Amino acid sequence: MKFALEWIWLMTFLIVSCSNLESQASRWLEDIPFDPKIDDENFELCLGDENAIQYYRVNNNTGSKGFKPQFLKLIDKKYDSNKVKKETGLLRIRFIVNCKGEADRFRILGSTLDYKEYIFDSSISDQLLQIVKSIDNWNGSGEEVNTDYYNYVLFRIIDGKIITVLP
Amino acid sequence: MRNLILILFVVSFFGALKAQPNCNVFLWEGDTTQFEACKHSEYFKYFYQFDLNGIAILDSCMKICPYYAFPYYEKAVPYLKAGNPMGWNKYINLAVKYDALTYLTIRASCRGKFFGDYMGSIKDIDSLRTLVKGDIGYTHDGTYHMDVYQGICYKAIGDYSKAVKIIETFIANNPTSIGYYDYIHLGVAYQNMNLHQKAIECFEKQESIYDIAENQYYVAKSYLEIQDHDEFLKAIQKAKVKIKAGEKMNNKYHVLEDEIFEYDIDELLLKI
Repeated sequence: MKFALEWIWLMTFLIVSCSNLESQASRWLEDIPFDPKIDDENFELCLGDENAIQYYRVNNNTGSKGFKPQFLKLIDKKYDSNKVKKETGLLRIRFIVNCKGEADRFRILGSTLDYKEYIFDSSISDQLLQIVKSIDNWNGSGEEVNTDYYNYVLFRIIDGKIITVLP
Repeated sequence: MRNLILILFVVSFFGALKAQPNCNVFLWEGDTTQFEACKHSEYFKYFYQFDLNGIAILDSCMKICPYYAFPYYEKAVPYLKAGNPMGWNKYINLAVKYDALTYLTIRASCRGKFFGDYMGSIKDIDSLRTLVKGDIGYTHDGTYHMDVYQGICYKAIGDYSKAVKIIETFIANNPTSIGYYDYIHLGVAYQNMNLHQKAIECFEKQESIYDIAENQYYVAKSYLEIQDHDEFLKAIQKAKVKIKAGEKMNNKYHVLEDEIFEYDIDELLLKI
C-alpha cells in the first residue's frame, strides 16, 4: 500500500514536471542553452542538448583532466599577468564539448575568495577566455568520445596571478 | 591493503546512509516538522542530482522544515560538481549550520579539492577537532584521513614543515591505517624542502604499500637532484611502464594533488 502511494505520487509529480519542462530552458542545473547573440551557430552537439552529460561521467575521463600539464604550460606561456588588473578571486569558465572534442557556449562566472559574486576586469577574463577557446580538441590525443559533455576550468587568482587551475 | 578495502567499504556504507537519512530518528526525537521534510526528501532518490525536478523536491523540503540539513547538502552537490563556488558555498554552509557533525567533513574535504581553498579546509578540520571526540574520520570520498588531508592542504599552501609534521604524526600513531597515497604526499613535501634522502625513504615505503607511477616519478626526481643517474633511469622507466598500464593516482572529478601524467614523465626525461 505504501509503495503504491509512493508510486502514484511520483508519477503525478513526473507528469506535472514534464509538462513544466517544455516551458523550461534547462533540464538540469547549470545547463547552458544556446544563445544566438554570443554562441557559434555552427557548433553542433552530436547527440543533442538533452543528452549532454557532466565531464566526470565521460567514460575514459578526458576533458581538461587528461592534459592538465599541457594546459598549465599553455596558461604559463599565454597568460600575461603584467597586463592585467591586480584582482583576486575565483574565475570559472564553463562550456560544452561535443563528441569531436570541439567546445562552445562558454560562460564566465566570478567570485571573491570568500565565495561572493565578483565580476573580473576584462583584462583577466578576456585573456583566460581566449586561452580556453584556443584549445581545439578537449578529447585528448585523438580518442573518440561518444558523447557531448559539460566541462569547466576554474582559476584561483591572487593579485592578477594564477595560483591554481582546477579541476 | 585489506585495511584500505575495509576503510573504503565502511566509508561507502556510511556514505549510503548519509544519502538517505533515517526519518524515524526525527520522529523519535518528537520533531514532526523535520520528520515530514525528511519523508518528502525520500522522493529525491528518484532523480539525478542535477535534475531540476529533483531540486524542486529539495526546495519543497526546505520550505517544510528550514532547519533540515539534508536538502541543503544535496542542492550544494551539483553546484560543487559544476565548479560553481557561490552556489556550493551558499547551500553547504546551511547544511553545516543545521548539522555540522554530518556535513563539516564534506565541506572541509571539498573546499581544497574543488576550489583550491586550502585555508578554508584547514580551518574546517580544526573546527572538526573541537566538534568530534576521538577520530575525526576520513574525507568525503574516503581517500584520506582528515589529519592527512590537513597536511596535504598545508603542503599545497607551501608550509611543508607543518605538512610533514602532521602526516608523520598520523602515520606514527596509525601504522595500520596508512592511506593509498599518504607516503607520496609526505615524500613530495620532503622533496620541496630539499630533503631528498627523506623523500626517497617515503617513496620506497610507498612502493611497498601501493606501487604506482607517481612514487616512481617522484623518486626519479629526487635521484636526479642528488645526481644518481642509474637510479634515476631505473625509476623513470618504471614510472613510464606503470603510467602506460594505468597504474596511477586517479579520481574521476579531479586531478589529485601530486598526480602525474605521461607528459610529466616525458618532460622529466628531457632534463637528463
